[in-house]
Amino acid sequence: MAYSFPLTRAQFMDLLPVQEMTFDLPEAMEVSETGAGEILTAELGTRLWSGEIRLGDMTPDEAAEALAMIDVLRQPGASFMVHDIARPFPRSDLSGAALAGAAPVLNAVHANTREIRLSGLPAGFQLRRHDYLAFAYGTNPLRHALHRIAAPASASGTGLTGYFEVSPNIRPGWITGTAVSLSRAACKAILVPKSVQPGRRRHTLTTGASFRWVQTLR
Amino acid sequence: MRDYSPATADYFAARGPMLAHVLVWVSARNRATGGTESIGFWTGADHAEFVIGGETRIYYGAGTALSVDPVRLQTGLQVRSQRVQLSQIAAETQLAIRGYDPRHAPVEIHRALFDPLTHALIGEPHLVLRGNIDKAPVRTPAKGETGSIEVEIATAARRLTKPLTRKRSDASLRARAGTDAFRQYASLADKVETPWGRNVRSGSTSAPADVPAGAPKGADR
Repeated sequence: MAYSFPLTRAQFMDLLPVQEMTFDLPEAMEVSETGAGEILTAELGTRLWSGEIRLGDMTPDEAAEALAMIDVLRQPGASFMVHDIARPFPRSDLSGAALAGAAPVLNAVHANTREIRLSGLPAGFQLRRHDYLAFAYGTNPLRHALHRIAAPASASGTGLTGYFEVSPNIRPGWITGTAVSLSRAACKAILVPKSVQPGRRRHTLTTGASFRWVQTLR
Repeated sequence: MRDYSPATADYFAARGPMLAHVLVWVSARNRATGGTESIGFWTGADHAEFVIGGETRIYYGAGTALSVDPVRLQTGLQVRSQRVQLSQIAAETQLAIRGYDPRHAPVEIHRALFDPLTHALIGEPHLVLRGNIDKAPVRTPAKGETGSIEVEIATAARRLTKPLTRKRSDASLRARAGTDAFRQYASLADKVETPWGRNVRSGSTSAPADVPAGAPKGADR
């Protein structure tokens, strides 16, 4: 059966022998430096997750698996789900065992759109800075929101947290009660056109393959 | 002069980061039915609804509107042209420019201001420019390059340059009042010969026999 987009983690990210990966939320702003040397800023555009993935030295078998799927993503309209390989689970639950039976949901979003509350966590679960959370919203197509926690929070005995800050801001369209993913939280991304380096094969190893990716909302 | 709401005026007066987006509203013509089809684009991240003038409008985001050239303001009745770049690939702009008939379609450009920290809308978006589409070339780029639809908008003063004949047709009169048939035959008027004192219907050039010479008759025009 033909692949449907976005490619899931099992269809793409799990096949990559990643050596290096950046996972960044660059600023989107305009600046103006005043005569006083002060730099004034204003937001311009949307903050989207982006980064670069470098593949390690691959055996022919590994290279075949990875490079064939990169080709699939180089056609127009193709997308995939990307997560931070360095941090698949929250810092307080590095193996993901504590979260295994839990079903966290979005409890509320503060009016400032920067703070949210979760419920359905295991009792006393700790959320720390740099943990990722993802949830789906909107329709046609389904949007995937990915946020990084900027303030620590802990769940109460009933699994409800207080308000904690995330970045970037929560975009409109969220629905209370949406399932939130804390383990391998992923966003939808595309390969940046013309950024793919296919790597060179020397003797039996393929080296130097890399590509850049950027989040897409639709 | 623009009349800003107090919230908007405070926003401009405050020293702080700013977040402004441009909203473009096009009222194009449906090619099949001739009805008006409205569609909006904005420079924001995703689709959003704005209430403008008591009407809720959906503006499509996510890269449909790429950029807007600086709006030039000047006094008088000169027609200015304003350029807006739309994505040549996004489905919604395809619908507006290729699907609908955008010829002379009315366009409104609003500016929406947001709180940069909470992304909350400040007041109602205010009108910046009103006009009609003048040109909309779709530029297909070379392979691997970026293209755009460069919509050129002639400002509303263009409507004053409409020639008189456009306003004096039967269609324009009926557009104003549907039952007004005063100019029903206006487009034929100069082609139909209406000789006085002759019976046009019978085709003869002499007066009918049953009419006394010199007596007027209703059929004679």
